[in-house]
Amino acid sequence: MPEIKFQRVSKIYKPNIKAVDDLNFTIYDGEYISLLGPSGCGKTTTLRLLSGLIKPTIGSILWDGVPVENIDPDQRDIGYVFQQFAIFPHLNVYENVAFGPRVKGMKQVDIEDITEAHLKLVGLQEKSYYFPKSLDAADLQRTGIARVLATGAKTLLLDEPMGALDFKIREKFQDELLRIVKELKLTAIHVTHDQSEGMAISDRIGVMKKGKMIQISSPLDYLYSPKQIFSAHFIGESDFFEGVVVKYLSKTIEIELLGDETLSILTKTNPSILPGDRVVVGVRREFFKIEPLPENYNLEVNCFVGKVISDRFLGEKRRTKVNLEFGRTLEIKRNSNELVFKEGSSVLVRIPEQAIRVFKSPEISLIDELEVT
Amino acid sequence: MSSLDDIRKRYLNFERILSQRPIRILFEILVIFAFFSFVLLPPLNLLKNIITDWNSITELIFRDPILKNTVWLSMFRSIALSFRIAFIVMIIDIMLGIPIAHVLARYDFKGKTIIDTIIDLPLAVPTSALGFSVLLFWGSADGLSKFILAEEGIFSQGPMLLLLGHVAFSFSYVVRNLKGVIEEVDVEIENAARTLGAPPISVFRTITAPMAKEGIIAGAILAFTRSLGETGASLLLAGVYETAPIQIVTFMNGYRIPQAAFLSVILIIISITLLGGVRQYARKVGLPQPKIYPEFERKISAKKIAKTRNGIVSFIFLLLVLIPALFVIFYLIDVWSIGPSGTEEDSAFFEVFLDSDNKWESMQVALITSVEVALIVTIINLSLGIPMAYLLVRRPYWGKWKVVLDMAIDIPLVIPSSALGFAVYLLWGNLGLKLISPGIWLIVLAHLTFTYPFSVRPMINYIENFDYSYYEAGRTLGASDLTTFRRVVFPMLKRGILSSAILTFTRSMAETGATLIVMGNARTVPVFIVDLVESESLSSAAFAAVLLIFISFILLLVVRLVDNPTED
Amino acid sequence: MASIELQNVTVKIGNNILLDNVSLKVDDGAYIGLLGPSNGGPSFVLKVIAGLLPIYSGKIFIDEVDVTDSHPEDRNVGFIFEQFNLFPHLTVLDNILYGPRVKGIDLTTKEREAKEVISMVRLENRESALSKELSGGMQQRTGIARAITAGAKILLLDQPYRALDAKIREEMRFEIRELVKELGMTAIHSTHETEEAMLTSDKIAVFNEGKLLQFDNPETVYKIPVNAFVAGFLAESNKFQVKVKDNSFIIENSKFIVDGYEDGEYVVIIRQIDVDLTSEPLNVVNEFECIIDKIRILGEFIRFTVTINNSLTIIVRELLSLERNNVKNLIGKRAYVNFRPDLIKLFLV
Repeated sequence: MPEIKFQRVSKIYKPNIKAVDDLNFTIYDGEYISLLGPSGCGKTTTLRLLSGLIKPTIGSILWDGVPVENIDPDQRDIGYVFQQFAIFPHLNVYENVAFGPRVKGMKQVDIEDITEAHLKLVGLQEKSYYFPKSLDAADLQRTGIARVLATGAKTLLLDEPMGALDFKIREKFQDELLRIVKELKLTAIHVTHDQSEGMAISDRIGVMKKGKMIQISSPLDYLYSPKQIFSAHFIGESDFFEGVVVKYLSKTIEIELLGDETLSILTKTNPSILPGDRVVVGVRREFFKIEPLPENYNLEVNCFVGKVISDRFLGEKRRTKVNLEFGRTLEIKRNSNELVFKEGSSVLVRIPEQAIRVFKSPEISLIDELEVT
Repeated sequence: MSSLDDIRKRYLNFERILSQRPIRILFEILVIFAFFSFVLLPPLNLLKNIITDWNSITELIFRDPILKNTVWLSMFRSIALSFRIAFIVMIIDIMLGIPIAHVLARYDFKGKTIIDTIIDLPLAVPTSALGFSVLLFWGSADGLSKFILAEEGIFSQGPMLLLLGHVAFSFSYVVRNLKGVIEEVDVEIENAARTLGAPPISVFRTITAPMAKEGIIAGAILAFTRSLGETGASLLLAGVYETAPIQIVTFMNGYRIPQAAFLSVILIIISITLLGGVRQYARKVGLPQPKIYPEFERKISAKKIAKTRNGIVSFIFLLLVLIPALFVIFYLIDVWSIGPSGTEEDSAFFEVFLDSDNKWESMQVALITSVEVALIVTIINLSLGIPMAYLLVRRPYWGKWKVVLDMAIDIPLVIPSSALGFAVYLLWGNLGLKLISPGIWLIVLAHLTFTYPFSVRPMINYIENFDYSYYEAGRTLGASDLTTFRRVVFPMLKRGILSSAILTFTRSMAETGATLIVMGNARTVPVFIVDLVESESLSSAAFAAVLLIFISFILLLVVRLVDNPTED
Repeated sequence: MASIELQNVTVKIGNNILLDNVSLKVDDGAYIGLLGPSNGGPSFVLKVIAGLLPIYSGKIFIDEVDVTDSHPEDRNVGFIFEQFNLFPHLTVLDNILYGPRVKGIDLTTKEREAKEVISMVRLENRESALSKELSGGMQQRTGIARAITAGAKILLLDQPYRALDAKIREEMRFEIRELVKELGMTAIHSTHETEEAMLTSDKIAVFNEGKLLQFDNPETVYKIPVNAFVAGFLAESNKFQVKVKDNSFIIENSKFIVDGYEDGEYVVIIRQIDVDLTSEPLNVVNEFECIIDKIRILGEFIRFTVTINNSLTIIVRELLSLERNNVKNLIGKRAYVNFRPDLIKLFLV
């Protein structure tokens, strides 16, 4: 029943390169956690720290309260699943799965039982005498999963496990993986750069950037109430407006947008935002509402007038680009069966109250804050 | 049943204990110590001897009361000759090697595998056999002269023959190396250059060659050092001329130890300086971007011209390398039953099997000695070399030591083997530690030194290319360091280990220079060939050469089978 | 002017047919998407146009000139690689100037042009970096700048964003399309992602097993696919095999009404996005009561797995909306799905 706790963990490579920087978080027993972030953000390092393949420079990782820095990977009771599978090419599927029990010195009869059971778990009984070179990517990864589970590991560490799988098979594979993890009551930590994979599979997602943990919470939280500008940007797509809090009433605040003093956004108060603060307003692209501009339009709250630049049909959805009057361009995602707008037609863009997220302005410029190279 | 389980469990536990860091490090220190004492210590000891005896040595060489400085002058001449030849050989090898290597690396055509194998053939020919073959082809009336109706050999023994011989034996090494280097440049990057408007010649000059810069320079160094250090073939081709390695042998034969030591040290110092300097230079200095002549390069990239060019290069390869290297086989067929003099008396069959001096018997003894030495050397070097290679690639805690070790491994590569042999003799033999007197065991010690890089370098390569995530998989699945090595790394590297072993074995089988110095009364086949040629028993020499070629060729075939598994 | 035409092009390696009698005409200035599985054909078409893959039969024309036998360096096409393939020993600027250099064009005049291209792809301040110092996105932008500076009028993009992280992919897709349009280039772009093809291209060609199946504008390909493969490849779908009788068919005891199909055996493709999920019945045709079994948040979409009549499993996909903020509470709840008859696609077996 592991509960894993990161306590002020940093991994520093010379000279002064912090691969991960002061990580503090807890993974609870039975949880499925995904680590997401741009390349080089430290997510893979975090996973390798958990495996014991590398050791933290500062801080400690507690496993049910016990520090594990000095425990070698072979003694940690973890299962590591590799992006490129790392299925031993000189052994067949059966022997790959039996590897863990064998090197742990189990009895021959037990090895056989365990191996058979795990081959069955991932549906590879029929292919147990195949060699890796004659398996497709999905079966290789199934072998990889069976192999780590056969060691009796209760914690799964998955390093982009679907990165090498064909696009079309990924959703099916996610279902299989999640079924196994929940059935065996495992704890899983899953590194990916694919946000929808992280969303689909996890109880909680940790978004990392430059070695730091930006936010760690449930998928729905990211979509409906992100806590940081970067995570609102990185998970899904949002548009951001910069502004200043000009009016602060008991229930609402008014934010004047930079660039045009006559435009403002009105929204609920927020304990961390104070009068006069510079803020960033974020709105998820799916949440804008858009309609043809009424003939005699009177100014309404949280509405902007603009012209459609393009309205592209993408099959499952539609992407509409609108140039707002004050010079900003917005992108809006809509259902593909909604009203089609001609290029150049005037529209009214409405921002529903619940869609508005207000963040404090970052210390660096907004562009730098959102940068993912 | 359960007792078997028990034994297994105990064994795993034992491996786990051995995997503990202190024990592992202790073992690694032992490996480094062995490397140091077997490979590095002899040349270092030689250097020490020179320094301690500096005055008496310089007395002998520069200020001899009778000879004055003539010893030094002749040394200088031989060194100059060696370097001149090595330099020209390097240029020829690279100039001819690059087009052949490029075609082999980049194009698919009918018969490619055959040509590939043919290029490698001279690798299988031990240098003394090869030298003999070259001598027959270029230097005797029975060779090329026969076909152009000349009465004598085209070249007499001397620098020109040395040059031809050295090109013949070093060429295949260089092509093999360059081919690997070019293959490492991603074809797609060359394709990118093509789509940007560069014809193939420009692509090679501006993309492939700069990207392969270090490899090409390494190939050049290889050609240079192989030529500089060669003894066996040179002995047969030099005539009255002396290259530096030959002179060391001559000094030894005359028991002129200080002179031999001095010359060895000079060769070692020059070689190491040269090697180190070129490497540093190659790494640090970026070449300027070459100028491009679009019209001209487009023209010579045209298919017809490319074909003609490849044709010319292939012809030169046949004439300079392949035919001379294998000519001895035709010669043997020629003299099998009727010898050069036209009688049966000096035919190969008669000389070897029927003559009174029992050459067949001594040949068998020499062959057994050769195989024994090669086997022992291979086993020792692999058991020292695999852990060393593994340590260099995969043990970060050795830090700076790794850089030093990595350079030190190549040192035997640049030292002429006769100098190395001499250093070994001086350390272990009766002038040094007095542990081992000349004979088979001293031969083993000498061969250990110069084959060491041949077993470690390829291993390093194999281990570097080994995907480390397999090791990590083993560890995270619960196997200790040693268990993972035994069950995962070792089986996956088996192929590499085998081909590394065969390379070591053939190198040892073919060696002449070092053996000559440390052999005492023992004889290996290459030395035996030199003896036979010197005693003018050409037919028997041909027989021994072909025998050695045959054995090495079989080994080479095995290497090729191991290296290119059929995809299945 | 830069038009491209493939006439009955077949490519074979051994007995393996990579392209099977493909004919395709691309007009000057068009942005064409080639869509299909990884080895289904799109990448081979690009390689054939660039001259990097020899063809077995057929002809290729660029600007109405037969280039079937000409070398890659003479075709004047810019190739953008999945793995970028920058020259690792050259800086960004030298990579970009490589084309003019090997063509013997005076670099002093070209250098100013190169700087302009560099600012177009947002690589200022990065001119003297080596490729290993650049992120994937920057490397790919260098690759594009390199092709433009070499004077290419045609850009062949071979899965250009596949090696990039999802977020950067999102940013680059549109940016590059706009750049190509601005410069008036012709572009052909291979991908296995529908959205990428739909978003960037004026017309889409769908391939499978080396064959060109359909070539039309994105909306037509999506809405009127020629066969079940195209229908299923363009969007995640529910797929069944049924017998149609009197304009209706039954799957697992549930009866569906369609319109205008003759009796016979059909493959049914119902896109997940076309299934409508409501909490209250709308009383429309093809409406069924169902139980919501599973809910997956996919980011911009939410995916529901529902069961009709305890036996028929249907997957429903829905664009994220504000109303679904407590969607997880719906697991195990009763709901209603309906299928618009005109969105049910049937293909004769």
